[in-house]
Amino acid sequence: MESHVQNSSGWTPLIIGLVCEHSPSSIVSWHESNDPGYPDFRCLRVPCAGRINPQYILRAFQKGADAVLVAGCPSGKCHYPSGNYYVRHRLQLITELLQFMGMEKERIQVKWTDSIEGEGLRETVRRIAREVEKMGPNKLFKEEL
Amino acid sequence: MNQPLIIEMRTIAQKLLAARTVGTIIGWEKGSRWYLTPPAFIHNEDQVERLYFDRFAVNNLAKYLLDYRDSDKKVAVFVKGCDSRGIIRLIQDNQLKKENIIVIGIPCAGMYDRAKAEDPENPHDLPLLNKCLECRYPNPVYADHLVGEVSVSSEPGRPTGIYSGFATAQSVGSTADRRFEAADTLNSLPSGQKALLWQTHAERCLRCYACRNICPACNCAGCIFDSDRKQWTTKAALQSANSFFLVTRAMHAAERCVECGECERVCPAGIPLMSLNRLVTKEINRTCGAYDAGIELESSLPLSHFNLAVKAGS
Ligand code: SF4
Ligand code: SF4
Ligand code: SF4
Repeated sequence: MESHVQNSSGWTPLIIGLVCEHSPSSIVSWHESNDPGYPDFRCLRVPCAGRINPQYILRAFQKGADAVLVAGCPSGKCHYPSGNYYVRHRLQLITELLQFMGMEKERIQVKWTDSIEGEGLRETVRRIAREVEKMGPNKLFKEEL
Repeated sequence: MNQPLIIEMRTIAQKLLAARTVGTIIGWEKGSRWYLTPPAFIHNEDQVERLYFDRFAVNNLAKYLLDYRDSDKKVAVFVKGCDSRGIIRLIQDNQLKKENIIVIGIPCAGMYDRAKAEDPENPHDLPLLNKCLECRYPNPVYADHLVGEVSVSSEPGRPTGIYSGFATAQSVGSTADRRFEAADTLNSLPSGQKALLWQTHAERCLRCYACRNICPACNCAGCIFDSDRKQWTTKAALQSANSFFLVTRAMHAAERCVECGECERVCPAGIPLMSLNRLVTKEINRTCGAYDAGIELESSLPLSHFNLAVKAGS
């Protein structure tokens, strides 16, 4: 696969976020005007991770995403309070299934996190962008028309 | 060897129709070739002689019950082990009421696979379908009546009834423990190879929906693929949309698939749909604990029920 580097080819990875609005991680969708190097990250906020239909991930790839980041609250911290329980096995399932059909695992990332814990979500977005840049644009499931 | 069983099938069908207990019997009849035993729909007593059963009666008849959902008469249906699991699934999904159907369990010695045979014109010595070699529930898991001395069993096990010895000798269920192997092997390939493989399959998919239509797990009245206006994907059979269909069908059959193998059998493009189903089933077993779909009416679905005490991994 030909390699795409941000600066030489002009291609930059498009990362779609599906993020729970009650999760502190929803701050990653804020655009920092003083951070021009921040990846092209477009965020769909949902009222709860439990609202994420696994098909949304597929939909993002259809429309040209190079990676999808799903973020919601850790166990025991859901606002509703079990939406994350409802969805987590479904997300694992679609992730496995897409990998079975040839999607690289770096392109679908699921995080159950408070942004105050461990690697901050902003840093996660940067890391995904670096990983995906090495792999090049995603073609799987991308609509022809 | 089937004669006593077929007589029993016809007798019970005749009784049910004569007593006006049911309006229709769904079974199998001998087709236009020695290797065809397609579905039969019997409405009158004088037609029961058409009923037949042999090692080619592979069709799962469960899904046809939905065509009679609004009928004011009951419907009776013959089931092998795998078919009976489809009936449980339809009842669990509120697509059928058990009061409206009569399920007749039949002993199964496994179904033949002509496609795999060295000499497909030779009726002797045919190999079994993979799904039968991998079969874990050869006995009906649910039935109102039984023929051929078969027993109802909701445990994985050996075939019972008049063919039990023969079925075991024919290796029914012999590779049940290894049924995930083919999907595992495929999954161990590098991403690029897997992508190419599935792209090639998707290019050949006709979007005929035969796999969906036969499947007892795929029972939505309004399928997202029936209309462009649902806006998930185009109706045009383009490679990307077909890939979308293949993933979506497997996701929607998750926790519902009874591993009857019918989707793959009916696919005119020969797409290995069972490998997708097996991957999904295996993953559900891994994340949610051991689970077989369509075994007990009262069981809860693993993806839809969760234990708040179990913490999610990050
Ligand atoms: S899967 Fe089992 S019950 Fe179904 S046809 Fe094969 S042996 Fe019979
Ligand atoms: S997905 Fe295939 S194997 Fe599973 S229940 Fe449907 S037809 Fe049977
Ligand atoms: S039966 Fe085969 S060709 Fe037809 S829609 Fe299903 S996968 Fe595609």
